[in-house]
Amino acid sequence: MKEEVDQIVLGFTKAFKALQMYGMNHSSFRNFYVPFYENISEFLSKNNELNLQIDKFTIHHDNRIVYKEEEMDLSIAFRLFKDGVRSIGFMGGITSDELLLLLDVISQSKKDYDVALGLWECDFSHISFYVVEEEEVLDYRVPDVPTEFVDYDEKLKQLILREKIDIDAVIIPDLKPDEVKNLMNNITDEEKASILPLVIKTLTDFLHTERSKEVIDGLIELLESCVDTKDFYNARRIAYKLKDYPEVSFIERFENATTIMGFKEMVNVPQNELFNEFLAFIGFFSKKSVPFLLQLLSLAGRADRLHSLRHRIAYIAQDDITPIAEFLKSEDTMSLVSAIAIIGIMRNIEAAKLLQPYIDHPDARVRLEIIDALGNVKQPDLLVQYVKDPQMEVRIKALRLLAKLKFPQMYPVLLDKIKDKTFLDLEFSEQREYFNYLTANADSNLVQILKSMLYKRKWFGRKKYRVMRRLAAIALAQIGSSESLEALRIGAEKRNKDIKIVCELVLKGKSK
Amino acid sequence: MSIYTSGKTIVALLYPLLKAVQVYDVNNDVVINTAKKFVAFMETLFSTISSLEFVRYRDYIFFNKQRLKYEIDSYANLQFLNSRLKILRIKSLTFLSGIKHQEIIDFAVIFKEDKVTFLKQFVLKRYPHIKVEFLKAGEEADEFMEDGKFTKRTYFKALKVTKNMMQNLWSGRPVDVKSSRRIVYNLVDTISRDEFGILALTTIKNFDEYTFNHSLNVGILALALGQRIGLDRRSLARLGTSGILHDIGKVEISKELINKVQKLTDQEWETLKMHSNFGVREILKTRGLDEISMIAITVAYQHHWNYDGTGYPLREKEEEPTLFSRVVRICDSYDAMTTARSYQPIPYLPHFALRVIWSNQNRLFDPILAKVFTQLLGIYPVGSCLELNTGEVGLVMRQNPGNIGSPIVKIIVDRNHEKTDGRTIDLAMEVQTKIVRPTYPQMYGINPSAYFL
Ligand SMILES: [Fe+2]
Ligand SMILES: [Fe+2]
Repeated sequence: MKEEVDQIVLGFTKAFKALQMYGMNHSSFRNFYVPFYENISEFLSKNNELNLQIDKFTIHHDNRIVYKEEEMDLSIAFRLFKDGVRSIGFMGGITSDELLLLLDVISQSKKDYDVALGLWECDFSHISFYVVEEEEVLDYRVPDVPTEFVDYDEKLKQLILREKIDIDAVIIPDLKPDEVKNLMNNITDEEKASILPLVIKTLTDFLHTERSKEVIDGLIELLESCVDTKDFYNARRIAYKLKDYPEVSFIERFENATTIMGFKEMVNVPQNELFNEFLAFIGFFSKKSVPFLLQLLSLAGRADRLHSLRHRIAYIAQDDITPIAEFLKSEDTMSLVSAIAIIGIMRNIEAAKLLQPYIDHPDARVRLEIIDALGNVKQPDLLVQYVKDPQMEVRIKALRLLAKLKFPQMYPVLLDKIKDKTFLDLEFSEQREYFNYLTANADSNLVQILKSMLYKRKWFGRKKYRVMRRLAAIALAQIGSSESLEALRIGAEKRNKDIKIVCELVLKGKSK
Repeated sequence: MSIYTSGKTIVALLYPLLKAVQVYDVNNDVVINTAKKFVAFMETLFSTISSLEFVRYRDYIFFNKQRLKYEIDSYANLQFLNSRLKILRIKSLTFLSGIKHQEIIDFAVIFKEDKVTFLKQFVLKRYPHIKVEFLKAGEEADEFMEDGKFTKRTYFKALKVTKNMMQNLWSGRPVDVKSSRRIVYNLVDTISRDEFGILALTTIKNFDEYTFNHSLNVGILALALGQRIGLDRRSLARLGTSGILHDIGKVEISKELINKVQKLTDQEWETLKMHSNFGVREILKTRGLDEISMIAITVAYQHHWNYDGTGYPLREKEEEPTLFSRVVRICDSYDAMTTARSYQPIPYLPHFALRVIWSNQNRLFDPILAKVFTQLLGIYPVGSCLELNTGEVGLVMRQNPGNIGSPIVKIIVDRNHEKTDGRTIDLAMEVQTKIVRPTYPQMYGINPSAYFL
């Protein structure tokens, strides 16, 4: 027994020294710690407990000194003793975590650190300790009982009457099983629940009655810790309240590169709710944050996230286009694209001018974004050139927007293109956009033109021309006037199979 | 499994067996199965521990030196074991490795008998795996009169810390947060070692400095109630802190108003009610926003919220006070009623304060907590003075767990209405001595707390 205890205390000492020297994650510490843990576990499995008494510089077991170190900084005994710890006990079942926690507490070197408090707060199950406080002088004197006459019986009667106390009511305080269950559930629920929302509520309720610097500062402190832990739900609730105090600047502290780049995991966080809370929170940000948020944007991996974030940034920037315009100079294509997109979202009149230099940008992604932006700011004349863009995707997008924005100036140009035989070389999806444009910008002539396309007799290139019939038929259906529909119905009666089939098909689709 | 949980489990398994032999024949399956279950569990423990020892001391049950606390889910089991051990005058009961279910059934059968029969039967039949140690003559009577030096030391240290804290706040001086944190843990330790002892000290009420005593007393009562409902130490530390700090907002209210004797005007009453709000700020100021102070903030804010939705500060319908706030609500009311203050020079007798709590469950107080609070303090809480049918007056020294109407009393006034340093009686044991009614100790020039120092 003696040797075993000596062995354990020696192991304890070595582990403690190693911890001070190397820290907990170092392998050298592990080398000392593991045998210590094994020794003490083995001892406890045999003896069930090990109690050590603490003196100023010594540790005792069974009235025998097992440890002595008089150098205050190095002495385990002194560290425990100075804060009132007078004994420490280890019990069978001790876990490695508990032992590590104990070593951690004892080795804390902060000047004001209270080892006893540290031990208490660990809430060990297999380590017990005994703490004494300094001796207090009992200066309490039992007060004299007043000597003047009081009719106590009368007082008692009054009390019983006033409180309507039923002095004979039977008191049986036994709990029913479901009451016990309720209480137990209540306890575990409250232990699990976070206190944070309740504190936020309490502090904000406080502010209903009185403006208090301490309470506002408290909320700001909570806000900081929420942002730190990425708890944007609660952060938003706090920010919402603090907005009532325009003179309190609570958001500026977050509007810097470090903090905002710290949010990068939020951009692609899998849960939409978390992302939306984040999005809502940054709604409190000011224009100042825009450059940093734009950097954050480049990390977005999902199209929907990119979309939401761009809208949010546009909202944060309000009418001020300057910080975003800055990003137009970006070397990075994605940043450029985002900047263009946001300018589009902002619908700023200056936008067209700003975007001008990028209209012929060699990267199709940029041109696509420009089209969207020009569409948003309603500048169809600038879109015209994209109808001849080398990239089909770009052409289609431009056509689509021209159709949407109703820009009849292009009507003859596009009609000429359709009539040109090179039109048949285009892909169907692009061809459709031409016809969509025509129907969107239709004039009274269009039905006639389409009708003649639909009914046109072809001796050569019949097969190739089928697509033109189809496009014309679809366009007629889209126009949907009595005249255009009549044209389709007549077509369906034609003997020419090409005409008949396409008209039937389109009418069928229409009736669906 | 920790010693504590093991002990709790054994008691939980022993209880149905002791009950079963009262109802069924020893050969009944119910008896045999409960005994087997009990033995099977003990065997798992015997693989690491050679003997399982229960010691009864001052109505506390210790299992292998660990005190088993009276918790809500173990209350009935523990108090039954305690009362049997007490009646049989058993000091310790030990089970040894190798015990079989038949031996434990035989023992359970005699364990339900009276003292004389038990003794005779225990000697007659051999119980090789059960050891019993009896109390010596006179040992029981005065055992609880031993001074709980540790308990008192903690109480007065805590009082000093509470007083310093509030006085420093009052005068705008910095508060020593470290010592107030330490003292709460000390109180948690004390409550688990000597619940009855520290509860007795809550009868100390200092008229002139009642706010300090009141704050501490509420903290202690809350800890005792928290322990009864099975809160762990970490939660207890939070609850205790919240209890001590519940009225801290009063430091923002003038002493004249707090000590005003005359009836308060509506305006003054509204100001006084603001102490719930002010508590939030005071806790923020002194302790910042760690986990414990966040809880204390909510309790300070909610401690006048009633169970039925009334109370102050005003709240929204769906807002309910937290468990801790409901605990403090009860303890605060009880201590306030039993404390003499400027506008209440004659306090409520503890018994009537308890009745007020009892009759206001559901309205003001959480009914479940009101019940547990009644279990904790008993019908005649510690510090009560009782007129007995012997013509004497007894002071309630502490509760009898499981027998809430029959506390342990010390005779302090004799038949001739003279103060006396009389004997101590366990009213649950001396059934011929009966309570006539509770009475005011002041009538005999007595301050009950003097007897607990
Ligand atoms: Fe209060
Ligand atoms: Fe109070």
